[in-house]
Amino acid sequence: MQLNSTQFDRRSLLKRIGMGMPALGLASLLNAEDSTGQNRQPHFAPKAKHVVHLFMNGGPSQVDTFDPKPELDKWHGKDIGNLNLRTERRTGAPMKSPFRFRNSGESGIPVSELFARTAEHIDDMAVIRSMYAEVPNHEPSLMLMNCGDTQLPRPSFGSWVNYGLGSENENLPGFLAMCPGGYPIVSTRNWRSSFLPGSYQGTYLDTKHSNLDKLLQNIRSQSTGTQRQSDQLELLTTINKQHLEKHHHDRQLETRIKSFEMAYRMQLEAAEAFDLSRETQYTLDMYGDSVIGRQLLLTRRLIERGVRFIQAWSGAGQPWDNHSGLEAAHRDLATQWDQPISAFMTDLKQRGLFDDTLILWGGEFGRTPVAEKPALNGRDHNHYGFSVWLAGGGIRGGTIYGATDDFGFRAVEKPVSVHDLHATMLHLLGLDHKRLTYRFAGRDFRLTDVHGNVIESIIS
Amino acid sequence: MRTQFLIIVWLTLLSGSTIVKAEDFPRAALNHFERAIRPVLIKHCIKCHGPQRQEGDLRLDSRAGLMNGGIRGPAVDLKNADESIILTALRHQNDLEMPPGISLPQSVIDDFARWISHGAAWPQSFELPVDLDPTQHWAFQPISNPPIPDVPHPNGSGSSVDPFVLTKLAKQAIEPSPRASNRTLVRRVYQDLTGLPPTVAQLNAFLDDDTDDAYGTLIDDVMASPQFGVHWARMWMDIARYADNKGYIFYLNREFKWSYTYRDYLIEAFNEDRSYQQMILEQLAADKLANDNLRPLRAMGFITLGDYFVNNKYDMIDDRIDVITRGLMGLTVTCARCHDHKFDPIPTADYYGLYGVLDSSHDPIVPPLFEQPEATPEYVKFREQLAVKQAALETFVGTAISQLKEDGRTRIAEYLMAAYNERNNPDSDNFMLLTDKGALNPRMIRRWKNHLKDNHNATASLWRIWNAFAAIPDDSFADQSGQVYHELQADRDELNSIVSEHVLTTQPKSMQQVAEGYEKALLHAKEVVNREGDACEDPDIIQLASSLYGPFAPADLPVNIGFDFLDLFPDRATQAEFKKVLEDVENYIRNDAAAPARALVLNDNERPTEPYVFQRGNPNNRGGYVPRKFLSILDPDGDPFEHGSGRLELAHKIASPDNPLTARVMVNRIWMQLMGQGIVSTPSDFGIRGAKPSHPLLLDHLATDFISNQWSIKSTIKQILLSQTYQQTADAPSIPATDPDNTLYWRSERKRLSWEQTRDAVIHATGQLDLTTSGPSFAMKNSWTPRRSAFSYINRLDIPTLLRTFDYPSPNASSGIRSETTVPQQALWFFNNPFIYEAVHRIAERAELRDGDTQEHITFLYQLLFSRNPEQSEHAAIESFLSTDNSDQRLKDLIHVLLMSNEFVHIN
Repeated sequence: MQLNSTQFDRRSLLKRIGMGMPALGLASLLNAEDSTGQNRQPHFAPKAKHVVHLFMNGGPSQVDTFDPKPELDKWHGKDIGNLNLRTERRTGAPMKSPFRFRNSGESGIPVSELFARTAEHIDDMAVIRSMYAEVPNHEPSLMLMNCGDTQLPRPSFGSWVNYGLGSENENLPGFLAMCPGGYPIVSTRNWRSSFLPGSYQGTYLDTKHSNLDKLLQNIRSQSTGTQRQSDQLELLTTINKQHLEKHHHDRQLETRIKSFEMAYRMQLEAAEAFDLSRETQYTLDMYGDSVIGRQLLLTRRLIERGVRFIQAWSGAGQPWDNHSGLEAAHRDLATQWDQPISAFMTDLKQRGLFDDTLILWGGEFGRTPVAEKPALNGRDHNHYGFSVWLAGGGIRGGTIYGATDDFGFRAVEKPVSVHDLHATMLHLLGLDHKRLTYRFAGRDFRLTDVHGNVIESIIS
Repeated sequence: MRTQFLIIVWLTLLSGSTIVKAEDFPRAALNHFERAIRPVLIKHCIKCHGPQRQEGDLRLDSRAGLMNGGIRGPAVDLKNADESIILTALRHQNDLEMPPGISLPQSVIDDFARWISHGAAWPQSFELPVDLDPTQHWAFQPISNPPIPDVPHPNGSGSSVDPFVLTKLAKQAIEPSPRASNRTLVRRVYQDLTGLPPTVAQLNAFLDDDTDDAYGTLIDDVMASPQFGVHWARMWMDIARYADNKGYIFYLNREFKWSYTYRDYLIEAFNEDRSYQQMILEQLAADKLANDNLRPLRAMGFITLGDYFVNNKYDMIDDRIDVITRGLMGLTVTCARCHDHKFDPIPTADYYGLYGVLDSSHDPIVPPLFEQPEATPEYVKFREQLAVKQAALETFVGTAISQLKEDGRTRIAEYLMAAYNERNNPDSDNFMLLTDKGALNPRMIRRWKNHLKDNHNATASLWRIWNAFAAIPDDSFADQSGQVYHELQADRDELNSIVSEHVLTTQPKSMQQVAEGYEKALLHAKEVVNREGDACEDPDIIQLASSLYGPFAPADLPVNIGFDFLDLFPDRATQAEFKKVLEDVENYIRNDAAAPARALVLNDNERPTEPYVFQRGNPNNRGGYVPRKFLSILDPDGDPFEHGSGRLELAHKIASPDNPLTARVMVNRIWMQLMGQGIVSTPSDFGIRGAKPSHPLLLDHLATDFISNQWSIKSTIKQILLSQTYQQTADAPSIPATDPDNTLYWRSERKRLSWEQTRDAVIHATGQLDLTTSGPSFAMKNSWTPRRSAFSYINRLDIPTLLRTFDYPSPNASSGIRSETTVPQQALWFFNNPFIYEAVHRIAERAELRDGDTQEHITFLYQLLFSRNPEQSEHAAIESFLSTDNSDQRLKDLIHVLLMSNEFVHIN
């Protein structure tokens, strides 16, 4: 089935040729008026061009990271009567944070010892303490955070951004989802393109591997050497061009010829982009020799090369889901992330990429301030209130936005929905969340559906 | 003098109207609107900002549209009238120029300014001009039988399709293109009908056939191939959002296991040319067709093979309504889940009427057989064992549920107080609240809560006392309960005497006391009816008992074993036990060596659901009752469905020659498949926002013939293939400036092979394609499995990147059209995937390439892959490629290049 519309407008043309391809690379193929790719322009001047989503899947505890609650120390282990601080499971008494907080930076924002290195950048970060989601279950909350709806099959944030802005590098995918060791739960749905064309879906990388062939499908031939492939491309182009002449220079055929040339170049570019051995020892040391360190260093290399949207996940399954043994598990996870995050931000700043890159750190929800029975050493899921932070392009650093109640359970001051977060991030990318639409099944769909307000006060 | 006008919003058709907004407008202001505003809106605005189009998301055909505005915000600003966007636009300021290219006279702009400054008066009903009346939309009109124009085709006789196409072309003075070559046509026909290229022998057989009707014979022969059904089944599987698993559903088994039986059914039905009418009946209600033949039961995979949405029933039913309405009728009914459809005449009541049908059906845990297995000793043993396991499951579930229901009829005060404590909380927390065993059941609490505020049933008056006390704010109970008590005492004659006796004897001190009084009254009634049964005639007792046992009683909750059960028993202990007995059955029927395949059907529930509208789509926010019935726009005087769920009645309404959509939608799908673009380019949306047909008369002609040919899909296909329009070349001598995109079919559309066609063509070239036309799905890995791609396993939870890269549609919603992208990742697959290398290797090993010289090899490869002989210049280029290195590897590299070529993946 082909996609044709009775009115063959610019949009449908772009749809036909695949908006996954850069407008630039196609300029020579298309009429001048078609090459502008108007719908790929931002709606207004963007403050950021790239998004890096550091996804703490499983749900990190806000009261142990960015939202200190002294009240928990007072009530630790005590009966709180009818006060309801539970979500899904039976819980016991409040549990104080096993971690110390320290006021950081000039802004003096308190950050837990878990993220002491990250806190070096606190004056460039905006901490939202009043996030809320809809349900205390991982699957729907992941869907909400990634795709804007808890249940319905909607495209992911990264797909929308690539649909809205296109790619800056014709030789690399525009949306990469990195998760070491396998998929997070609900797997590839987290980066699906749903009803948007398939070329906008996230490309998954198992960053447990460092070998390029294992990272990216079909990126290298197992048996054909470069010279042979170059000969093949030459013959292919020759016979395709003969064919093209016979068929009246059909644009569709021309585009496909071009795509083979691009693919050929992509093999070279990807090999280079994914090759961390090209980094200096100084840089390698800064990130540290770990899976997450490699993952973030790779992220920087890809951002540098124009990849639009990168998700870096904590790991397969739901690593931050610490119903018990929270102290050790959170410490271990934070240790994996803290140095690489700090290095990543430093590195971006040193290369002048920080202001172009919007960084989001957070999970699909947070955790309860009360501990779970019977062990009383872990926390349950909590969608009523949790923290995320943003940094980089367009973010007003050293900001705290919103607040939870005295126990850190529920967002009470300036609550921020996930739709608000999405609207704000799109806004920073120069996209009006109400105008970024795609018609499917008779409706103009939006990432934010009928919701979303831009949080102006965290924008610089 | 002032006249009151009310803006009335019809919430539902049945529960009547609810006044959401009342506005007073002076008569003079309304006159001004009628005289000066309405005509301008109709003449200049509504076309782009009305029911048909909503430029900038703005509608100006209602006051709500005006106030809600579009992407620039509200169109009018009542506080700063002069800054209203609509005035800015009329004045052509701030880059806004409305109407486009027309400056309305200053007097008109002044009229608008005055109108807004007086509050933008708007009368109750704003009659739209007839041509904008949604009920007059073309697709809702009966299918006509237009006369066939008398226009001969310059290329010779074709079919009745041609005169309709030629008439349109003649109006633009466009000539049709010449007929394509026989070689081109044979490749086109094979690909369009079977999804496979012709073999060299098949190609030559046609080229050698010089009888007059060679082309017609070709069509018949190719349609008779069993591969025809495979290709058309795959087309339909996009619409049916086919997948082999259910998505993520916690610990429950995600596999459908027998999803393939639906594909087998489709292949058989398309191959037998089963009437499409019958196919619809079978896909929606095979379980209800009086038929000894059980094989059609497999057809119901059309409904049942959707996503399970993490077991959210409401989303599952929404998806099922969607596949039925969009898939079969091109109507976007699910837009009406939260509000009346914004464009098409589909109220929420219609949606919930269909919701009631689907909610009255369930997916049985042990689906039925569709063939009687042979009574081997193994099977007999299997059957006996299964009966034991099923009995264990039923006993467990039965016991648990009767305990739950009994709780709902005895722990009344507890439930009442729980419902009372939650009375002001919205039920927005739509998640499973895990409980301890023995705790109050959250679902039962919700049912009690709904029951207490239910105004639709016989027990409403029973709860008057309760509701009167419950309305007192928590902290004012002591202060206000006295007055409430006295008021109720005064009305005591109208109240249920038993309740009054238990609750109003003394003034209650707390809600707890009221609850306990009710509990005593209800337990008393329970005892009486249990003792006396039907003999009981005391109306007060009967009223009380109906709150315990009646069709709306909280404790009388409908139960579908399956995922519903988890929600009913949210304590981990019961869930674990349930999981054990359930898996015992499920694993057995799936995995036992003697277990036969089953059909994934729906069955009617014992008791059909009486549906309510869910306001704003929220199941916890019930609106008015609606009957289970068909869409009002298509069946304005239709009666509610009467038989069970109503699924069969629904199927008959859809598969009816009088349904203006069903036949049109299907012939358009067939046309699109063959011609590369639809007569209606939005094949699953024939509504007001869908595309208009490029050839409305042709569409009706095809639909009329389709119906009169007993809904024969093959007849419609042949009608199209025999046309000269289909047989034209894709390479027209010149491109007409008035229709560069070929919407009028002055040439054939060049088509790119789909993902399935591409992979199948590659295997086909090895001569080793497995042509089996039925059976379970195979896992498509990089390893070599020469099955046709239509049989590949579709994992809804993890759609392979490869498939999405090649535009395979998301199986999470019905898809009527695939996007067609060209991205480097596709080329990378051709360059580097091991599957391609394996195919190249196998092609290189063909006998035809072992003997003979280079010239012969090249000729063979061109015939095999392109269905033609190479030209001299092509020989030269290839020989030069081969001459640099005379190895076998070089020949393989050549084959690889030809597989990557444009010619290989396009049909001219």
